[in-house]
Amino acid sequence: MAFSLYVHIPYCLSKCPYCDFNSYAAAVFPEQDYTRALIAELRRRAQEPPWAGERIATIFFGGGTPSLFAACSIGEVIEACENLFGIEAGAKITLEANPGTIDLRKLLGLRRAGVNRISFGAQSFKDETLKFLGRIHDAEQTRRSVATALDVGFEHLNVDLIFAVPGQTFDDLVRDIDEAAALNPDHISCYNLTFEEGTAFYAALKRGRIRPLGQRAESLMYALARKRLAEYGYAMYEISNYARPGGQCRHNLAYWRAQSFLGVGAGAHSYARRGPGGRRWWNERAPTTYIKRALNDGIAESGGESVDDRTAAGEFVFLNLRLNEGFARADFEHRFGRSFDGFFGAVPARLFADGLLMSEHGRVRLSERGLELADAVAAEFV
Amino acid sequence: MTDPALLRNFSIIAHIDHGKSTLADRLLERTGALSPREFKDQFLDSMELERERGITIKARAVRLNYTAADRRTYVFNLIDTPGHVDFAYEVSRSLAACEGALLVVDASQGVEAQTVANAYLAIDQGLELVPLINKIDLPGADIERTRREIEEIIGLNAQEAILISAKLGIGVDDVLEAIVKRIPPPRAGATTSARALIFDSWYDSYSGAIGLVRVFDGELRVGMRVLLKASGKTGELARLSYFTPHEEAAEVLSPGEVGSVAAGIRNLADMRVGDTITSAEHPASEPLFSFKELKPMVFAGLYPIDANQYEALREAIDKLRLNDASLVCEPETSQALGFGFRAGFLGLLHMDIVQQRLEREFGQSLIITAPTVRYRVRTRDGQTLVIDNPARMPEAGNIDAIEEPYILATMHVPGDFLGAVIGLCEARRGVQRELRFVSPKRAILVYELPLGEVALDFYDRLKSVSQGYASLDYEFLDFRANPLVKLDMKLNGETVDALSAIAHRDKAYERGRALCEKMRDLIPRQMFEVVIQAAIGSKVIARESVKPMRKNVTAKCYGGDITRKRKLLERQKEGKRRMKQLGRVEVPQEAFLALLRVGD
Ligand SMILES: Nc1nc2c(ncn2[C@@H]2O[C@H](COP(=O)(O)OP(=O)(O)OP(=O)(O)O)[C@@H](O)[C@H]2O)c(=O)[nH]1
Ligand code: SF4
Ligand SMILES: [Mg+2]
Repeated sequence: MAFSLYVHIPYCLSKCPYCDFNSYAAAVFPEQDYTRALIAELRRRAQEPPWAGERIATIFFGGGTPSLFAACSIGEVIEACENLFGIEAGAKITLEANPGTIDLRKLLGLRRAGVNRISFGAQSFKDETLKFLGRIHDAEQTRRSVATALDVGFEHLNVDLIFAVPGQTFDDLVRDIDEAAALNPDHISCYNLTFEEGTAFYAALKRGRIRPLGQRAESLMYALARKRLAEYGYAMYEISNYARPGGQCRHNLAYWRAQSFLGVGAGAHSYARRGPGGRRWWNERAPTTYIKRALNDGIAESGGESVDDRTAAGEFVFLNLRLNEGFARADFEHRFGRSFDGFFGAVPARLFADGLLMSEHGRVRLSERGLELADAVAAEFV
Repeated sequence: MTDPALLRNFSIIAHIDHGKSTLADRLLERTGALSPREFKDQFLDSMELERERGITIKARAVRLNYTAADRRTYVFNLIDTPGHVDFAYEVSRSLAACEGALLVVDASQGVEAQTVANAYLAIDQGLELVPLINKIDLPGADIERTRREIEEIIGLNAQEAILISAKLGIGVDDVLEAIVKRIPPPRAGATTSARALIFDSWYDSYSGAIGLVRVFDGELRVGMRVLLKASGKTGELARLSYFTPHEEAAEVLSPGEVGSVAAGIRNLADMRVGDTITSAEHPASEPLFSFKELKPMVFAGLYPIDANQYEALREAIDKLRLNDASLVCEPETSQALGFGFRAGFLGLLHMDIVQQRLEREFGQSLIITAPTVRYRVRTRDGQTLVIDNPARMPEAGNIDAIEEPYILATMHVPGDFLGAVIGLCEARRGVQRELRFVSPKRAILVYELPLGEVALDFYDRLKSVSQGYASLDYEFLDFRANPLVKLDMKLNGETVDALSAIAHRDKAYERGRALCEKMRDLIPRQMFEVVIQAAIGSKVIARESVKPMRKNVTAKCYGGDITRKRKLLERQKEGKRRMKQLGRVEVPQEAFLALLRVGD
């Protein structure tokens, strides 16, 4: 079966204070070596099950800031994919771009290289908020970059927004959504800001320098975002993702549906499904170590785990429940050999009774209330 | 056998933290009992909890050889005792094995409540007391004041008190000589039938019950058949030993000597502290002492968090009791918590230690309910019931009177804090019996207090209102009838029996309100609202609620790092597993002890 490919580019111009991705601020970076390392890893995987002989359904260049790389480097990777695996016709090839690092020339180059979807890290259209978030671009740059991308002919675009930023008001959020919608992308992501361990914001929070908005405000903002985006025709299909018809990100759907995906690059994660469970591994996080190991023999794994049936069933449920459509009871039963209710004992009945889970047309999904408590619900299944 | 004239048996007694164990270290060192390599501070505090908290919980006996100025080599049996009031019984049983005691007084603190209580215990048993003024190296040491207090409060001649620093080893040689000169050797015992006093016991998985004994008459010899007078058990002395502090085997224990005995007795309950060991062939007609049975002061429920762990908890408690004969435990059931135990403790420190040991040494996850005391209830139909669990209190309509235990509390209070301490005692329904200034700056305050009010958090409060300076000693007084009521707690409308408490009628409202507030703070938000109510009978007197969780969702599941996401969820779930599910409400361990913390 065709699979999804994730390619990680770990470099950024500066590190945003909320970010806990595997990304490194660097003025100069070994772009050529890194690109060669990616291709070496792809070449090795192309000889191994379950990827050998399978075609690629989607490619996603994430980061970090992939738009820092020259279009020709991205082109080399896509070309290698075509030669080593073959890319399905109509496959979406996405690249994450920082609005401060992209211009007409680069967009043209990317288009020529085969990229057909750009995901912009806009985050906000208020310069104050952008500054607070440590972003290197302003709102005007975002507007211009997205408009240029449309002009160049990218029909699939995503704009990322962040809400519940300390100091942000409800009006600010409404304006951010309005501005994002005005740019007319077919996909908008809207993430609740979180304070992750190891980030500068987390440290500031612990020292009492910044204060989160609080559960109540966050929950109201989340509801506001869902409603407002729906009014513009962006339907929520995942907890933080909204799309117009046809705009859903197929790449991310593979994660949420607990399907196989291959990740290459520093710190990338992969999952090779086998039966109900499978094997998962992750690469060296440090770019230099990654490059050295990948160039050596195409393998840069630093850890892994095998996912047994019980764990896989829990993951299947908590991942699929992130989707608006949830999952079909039949799919669960097909994969795990038992009914959903049978597998988890008293848990589902209680969640249905509490109105957190809903069951309709043979599918199980979160209710409106369940959506806000998705993690508490998910914890019941792990 | 040791010539009795060369034997010296003594305990080290003091108020908590005045330096008993540190002095024991110095005595061990000076007599060469320990090589420098083996040495560590408070060597005799060998239990993990003792080391961690820096306190002595269990008394320890060691045998030392000391060559004195007169060139003769003496054998010392040293017993280090605990200072905390909960363990006062350990002190009294240790004293019974001795002819003398070193009374340690911290020169920076002066005489405190347990200094007095323990000194009187020793005087009552006819022991020779050697006062030592310790910590003279501290800048805050006030030797003259301490001397005066020893004379005025205890009534000992303090001119001969030895000035020492146990920490720095100052004056330790004088202490060693004083032990030889001032503490009398054991009196020669009768030679007819053997009599030895068991003053401590513990369980050894290999030899069974071990008794620590002091021989008074005759001798104990390996192979001899012995009778335990009170329990009536017989056995053969399989092993005699003493501790130097390393265990060394002995053939014989003769009059005046201290050592341990193993007699093939499997059950620790048969090797009772206070019992007399005698020869089975020629039993002595009279026991040495008639010891008081140890009475627990506070009671609490012990329940496994996971009902399936009941058997495991029972085994853990059984094992713990092998080493802690003062822990009293009976099975009980609770509607809310299922199968568990009602345990009796010597005090709150003891309760805390039992809980910690069960959790750490035996890996149990448990709920411990708020401590309560034993009430006497007279019913309308003329019965008298003893109630140590508030949930078992009869219907109010059937009660004629409830009597609660009172204690006589003696507090030593620096003058500056006297007002605050009196305020505390009054708030706890105390009745002042005596207020005496022993110096312009120091008072002894005696109050009659309901034990139920002291069992909660009195000791902590006393320490906090006096910045740690006030000390407390108490003894049981009597039972008194008071207008007491049962306070029930409800979660989402369901009464939780394990949270019931007994309160004075006049204070029930206040306590109900405080309890609701504390519970509200301790119960985490759940997926639904949790209503907390306090009620007397059917009347609700206070209400609080825990608002439902608003939002609990991770925005992003990035880069396919699903392992990390799952681990986070697992951690969230693990947190829930440590809580007790009551109906649908998840209640953390601490909430069951909310009553202890309403004063915070
Ligand atoms: N400065 C100073 N500190 C001392 C001296 N003697 C003991 N200490 C300290 O006082 C504290 C208590 O000493 P311990 O020997 O544990 O006291 P204890 O009387 O055995 O305490 P409990 O067994 O808990 O009643 C420790 O921190 C010792 O280091 C001394 O002579 N001088
Ligand atoms: S640009 Fe993106 S990846 Fe880079 S530091 Fe900022 S948030 Fe992280
Ligand atoms: Mg000690």
